[in-house]
This record gives sequence, structure tokens and C-alpha cells, in this order.
Amino acid sequence: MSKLSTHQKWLLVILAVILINFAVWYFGLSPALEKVKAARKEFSTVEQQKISLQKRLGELNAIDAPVLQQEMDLMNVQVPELGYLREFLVYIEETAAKLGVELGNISIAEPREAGSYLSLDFSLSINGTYAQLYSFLKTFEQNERLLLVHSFNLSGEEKMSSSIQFTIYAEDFDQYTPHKAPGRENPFKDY
Amino acid sequence: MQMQVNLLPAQYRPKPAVRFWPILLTIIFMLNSIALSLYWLRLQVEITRAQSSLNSLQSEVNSLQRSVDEAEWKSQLAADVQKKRDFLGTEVTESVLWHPILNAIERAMIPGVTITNLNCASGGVVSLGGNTETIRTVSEFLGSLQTKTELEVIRIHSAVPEGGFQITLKDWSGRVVDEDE
Repeated sequence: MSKLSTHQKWLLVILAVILINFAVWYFGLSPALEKVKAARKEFSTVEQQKISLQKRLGELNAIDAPVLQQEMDLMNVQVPELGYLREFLVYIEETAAKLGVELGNISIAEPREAGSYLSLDFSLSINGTYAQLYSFLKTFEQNERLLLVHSFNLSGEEKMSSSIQFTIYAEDFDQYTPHKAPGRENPFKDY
Repeated sequence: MQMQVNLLPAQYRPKPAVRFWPILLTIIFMLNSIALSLYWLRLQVEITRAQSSLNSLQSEVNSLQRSVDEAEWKSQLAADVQKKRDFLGTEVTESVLWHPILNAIERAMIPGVTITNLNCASGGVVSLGGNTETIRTVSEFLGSLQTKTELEVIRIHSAVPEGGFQITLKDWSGRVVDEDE
């Protein structure tokens, strides 16, 4: 080293400084810059996420849930979640009795799919005067539940007979409808 | 060994030549070191700041996500309501209301005509069978039916004086004619 001239020594120092600069860049500054770049990129991604979440929250908050719930409650009366088949059969019998209509045969088909819901087809035979049968049909068609009469016929004079084909709707007709029965020892004998 | 002694006072002694390049290079090296250190320091500060901003933003996003998740039921409710509304709309629109036709027929009745059977089928087709005294009576009944039901297509298929007749009314929907009960 002592044999080197001052000029050469300075050249060595310059070389060493360049090497140190390169090392500092390679091992210190470049990774730090990458970190900054990555953090900025992630920040931008999260910010986009924030904007989309804010937009979604705005949309959700704009939904008037109480009004929708009210509408849903009304529509649930028309197309209930549960079929209430037992209650509906009782309703038919009670309506017929109230209007003085003689109830004949009730035929019920298997539930079938109707869009996202289920429908149940009925065929009903009734007897009575024209006024009674008219009232029965009108009561049926004005039922708060969605009850669509597809076809019906009327015949006779004073005492008339009619058959009505109609459909009711629900989300499920196979729900559990409990009834507390007293039971009987001999099911083949009515006491 | 010879020894050279300068006996001149210090201010008169010859000064060594100033070496310009070593000083300049030393200054450049020092400035370079300072610049590198400052830049590195600045990057570290920037990383810390970015990390802290990111954490803060992330917690904000998490909180927003929770709010969105909590409010998501509204969207489900809106979808369910729309689905049921569409279903009800379609079913009701495509259905036929029958009791108004009975009401319209009641109002269309004229003396000399009696209905014996009435059949209402899907598609809004109403078939009427009855008894009439004369052909004139049944034709007047046809006109009366047209007035009261506002239906365009009412066909008479058969009529027998002092006998039976058969009439068909088509395209009844029952949801547009005013009731007059």
C-alpha cells in the first residue's frame, strides 16, 4: 500500500466510495424504495376497497327497510311462508257454513312449483241458491290470501250446484301443523 | 546526515502548496455520505408513514365491512320483496276474476230469458246455456250482454224459439269492468 503513489491511493478511495454507494443502493435504498412502492400500491388497493364499501353502504342505507318489511308482511299474507293448509280447509268449511252453502267434495292435488313458490290446486263442489253461491265465489275471490279461481260452473234453478277449481300459493305446504288429539282405543269405532 | 534549519520567522517561511483535488474529493465524499443517509432516513420515515396510513385505512375498511355485513339483510329483503312482488304481479295479471261476470250477467238479464247453466273456463271463456221465449229475446239478450260486459266477442251458437240457446263470451278478465252492485 505504501508503494502506491498518492494519485493511485485517491483512485482507490474513489473506487471504494463507488462500491460503498452501490452496496448502500443495493442493500439499503432499493429494498426501502420497493417497500414504499408496495405500501403505496396496497394503500391504493385498500382505498379502492373503501370506496366500493362506502358506495355499497350508501346503497344499503338508501333501502327503506321498514317500508319494504311492511310490504313484505302484506305480501306474506297473500303468499305465506307456510302453507297453512289445515287453517285453509277450516276456512272453507267456516265460509260455506256462514253463507249457508252446502259443501261437497274437496279434491286437493300435489303441490307443484310455481316460480320460486309452490301452488296447490283445489277442486270444490258446493250446492246452494244462486245468491249463496255468488257470495261464496265473491268471498273466495276477495280473500286476503292469493286465491285464483281458474274455472267454475253453475247449473240448476232454485237449488244450484257448482264446482270451483282454484289455486292457493305458499313457500312451503309441508310444514308441521300440530293438533292436540284426545285419541281413541278403537280407531274403527266412533263413540 | 545533513539537517536543514529554517531560521526565518514563521510568517516569512515558504508555505506548502494547497492541494485542491483531495479537498474537493473529501467534500464530495462527505456530501455523498450525507445525501445517502438523508435519503435512507427519508425512505424509512416514508415507510413508517405509509404503514401507519395503511393500518389506519385498513381499520376503517374493516369497520365499513362490518357495517356493510350488518346492513346486507336489507339487500336480501329488497330482493325477496321484488321477487314476491313480481310473482304476485304476474299471477294476478294473468288470472281472471269471475264474480264480476256473474254480476254483469245479472244486470244484462231481460224478461223472457233464463240461464240454466254457466261455465267459466280458463282463458276468460264464459259459456252460457239457457231458455228463451223467442229469437228476438235472445238477440236482445246478446246486445244486453255486450253492453254490460263490454266484451267485443260474444258468439251465439244456437237458439230455439221457446227452447234453449247457447252463447259464448270470450276474453273476460274481470279486472276492468266497473261493478255496479
